[in-house]
Amino acid sequence: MADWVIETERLSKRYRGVDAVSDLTLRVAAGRITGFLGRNGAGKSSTIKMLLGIVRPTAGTGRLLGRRIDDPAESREARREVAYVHEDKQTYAFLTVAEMIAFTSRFYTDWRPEVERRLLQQYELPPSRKVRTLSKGMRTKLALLLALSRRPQLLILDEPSEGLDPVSIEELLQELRAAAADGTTVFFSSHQIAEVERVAAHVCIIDRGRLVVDAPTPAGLRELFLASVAAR
Amino acid sequence: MSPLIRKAWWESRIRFLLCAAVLAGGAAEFLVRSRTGFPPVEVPALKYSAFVWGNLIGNHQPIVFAMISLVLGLGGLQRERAAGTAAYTLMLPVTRGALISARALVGIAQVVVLATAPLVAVALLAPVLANHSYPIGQAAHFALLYMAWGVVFFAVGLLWSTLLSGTLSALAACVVTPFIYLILIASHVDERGRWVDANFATFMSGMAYLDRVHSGTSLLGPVFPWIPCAMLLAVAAVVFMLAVWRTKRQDF
Amino acid sequence: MAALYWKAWRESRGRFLTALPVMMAACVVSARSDVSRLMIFPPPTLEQYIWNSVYDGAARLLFVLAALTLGLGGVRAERISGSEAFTLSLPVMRHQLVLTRAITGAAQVVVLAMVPLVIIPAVTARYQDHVYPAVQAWRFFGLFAAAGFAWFAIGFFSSVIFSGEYTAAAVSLVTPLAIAGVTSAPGLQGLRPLNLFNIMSGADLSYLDARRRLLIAMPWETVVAVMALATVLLWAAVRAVEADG
Repeated sequence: MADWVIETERLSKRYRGVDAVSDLTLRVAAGRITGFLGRNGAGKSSTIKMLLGIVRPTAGTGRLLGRRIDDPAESREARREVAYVHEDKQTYAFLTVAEMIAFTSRFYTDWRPEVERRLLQQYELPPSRKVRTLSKGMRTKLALLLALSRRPQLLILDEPSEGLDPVSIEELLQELRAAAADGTTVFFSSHQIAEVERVAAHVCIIDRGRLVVDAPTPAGLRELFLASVAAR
Repeated sequence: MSPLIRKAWWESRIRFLLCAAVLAGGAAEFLVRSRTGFPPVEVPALKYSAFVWGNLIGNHQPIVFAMISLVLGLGGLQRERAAGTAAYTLMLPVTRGALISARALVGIAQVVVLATAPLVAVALLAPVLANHSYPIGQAAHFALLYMAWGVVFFAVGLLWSTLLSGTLSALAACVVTPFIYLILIASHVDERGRWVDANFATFMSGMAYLDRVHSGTSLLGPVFPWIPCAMLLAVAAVVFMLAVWRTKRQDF
Repeated sequence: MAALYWKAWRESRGRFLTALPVMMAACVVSARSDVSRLMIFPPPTLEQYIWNSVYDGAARLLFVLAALTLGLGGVRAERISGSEAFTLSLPVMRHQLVLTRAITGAAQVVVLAMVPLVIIPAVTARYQDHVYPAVQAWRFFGLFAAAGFAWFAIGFFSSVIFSGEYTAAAVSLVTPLAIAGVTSAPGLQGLRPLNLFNIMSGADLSYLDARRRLLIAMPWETVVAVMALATVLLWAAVRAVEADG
């Protein structure tokens, strides 16, 4: 297993003349929880999408679990060992919860049925309900279940707590700690400083597409965040 | 069944089943009319095979089938982007080529079923239900003609679905495609010209290959256009590769 | 309300601007054709050829499909892209949302129906030995506009009833097949006058001179009946949207 689960070298993404990500050089170490902070529109989601091969970089390189992100075959191999909760949390509206779980589990050898059952009960997701009829919070929980029911090397979450009630947020943070204790590296993006402060051992702050902070999570994370985004 | 194949089926089954129901209804209605309304009063000497051709194979049927094939090609990642599920799908440990190939396999199977089932059903049931016979070999050969162009149109629909992000934009493009093609190509082709097979309506109805010795039967003659069929499949493959190439380069 | 019309135009302009040039090209090609070189014996008259290729031919089918497609979309379709809540939260009545879309679409259908009216006499005047009769072009415009309104209403109604965007589209696109099939089914000859395709071209109906392929008179009762059908469908769609929780 690579010491760095995520490595980027001057990674950039330009959308129609706008630099969403600019010269991003990032290293995320294995075996800990890393928070990826930034304001709305800072480039967090674009960075994650480039890492996962959903979007092609304009410039620069990157590796995910030691595999090149710009090589489709290597990217696919990396994705076998990565679980991802994307910012939209949307899954297939025409399937039921049970069908969505069954469909997803077919792709991964690290699926854990006992965790699936536990989370299904804990999140109170009705198996026979169509996804399109779920509330936003329940869809978020389904997306979390699909990621957490595995034992991936790397768990990437993009704004995972969006749409969750406070109790569910607490449960999510506990799941992240449990996953990290189990050997999974967690990389989650958020603009909720309090959540990052509570669970992340390391924090990367991105602003206007550039990395501005890469350090162990300090006690005054809020002040650091505000200072680093204001300084630019 | 591969989960990708299953996903492609789930996403397209309503369209497919609707089209299948309508074509089946048309075939059923034709069989009833064969029993009660054949030969037509205005053309008492009409052969049954010509009656089949006029109602199920020729006239407006090719353009209807072209439209059906195009619509079956719609969907895919552009649509998923609008629905917010593209990131989930692209995160799966499969290549983009695999995703689009699964759609293609399911769609081509659907085109084959829709091209074959109504004609073969009529050939099998006409003797029983309508006291008329139609050679099943002819039904199968006409089905092959429909399949050949049907697969091309399906591939074009698939390509439109990768090029156009709006669902209705892609649909509108599919609706006008056969007409644009007819306007551009057909005016340069006559029924005996070298590029007659480029006119999909003429090709699917077999007009250039009908039996001239027994004219009036509207049956296919001894020479079947295997090479044009193979060329059409090659064209479909090229269009499909374009769709794959485009999808691999797209950002979602 | 003007903003709602602008929204309806922006949502539908792609479909309209895709269909319009193709409809124009189809009419130009037909009107320019040298009918004496067609391998049909006896060669058709210009009027017969125009009827076969435009009013009863491929251009008619294109027009029908375009009208159906223009009826699609709406609030249900916005559910897919997630903007439904925004639209419904606007300070307008739901029936205003539906009516502005319906009026915009109906206007687009009328413009498409005008294409043969404008192009065929003009092009035949330039390329044929005589001009296609303007009276005929106007009568067929009336039939196309009325039936086009009905086809539009069918697509519109489908888009309100069916939440899946491809389901609504598939239902709309197979409806012409179903209508053609049902109205020509044995034992249902009484329904033939309801065949919208035949109403547009006059085929098998008393107001068409079948030999010369010319409309004898304008079937105003038919036009009114078709418009009434379209109005009922649109009213039902408005009610359905208002009632949708």
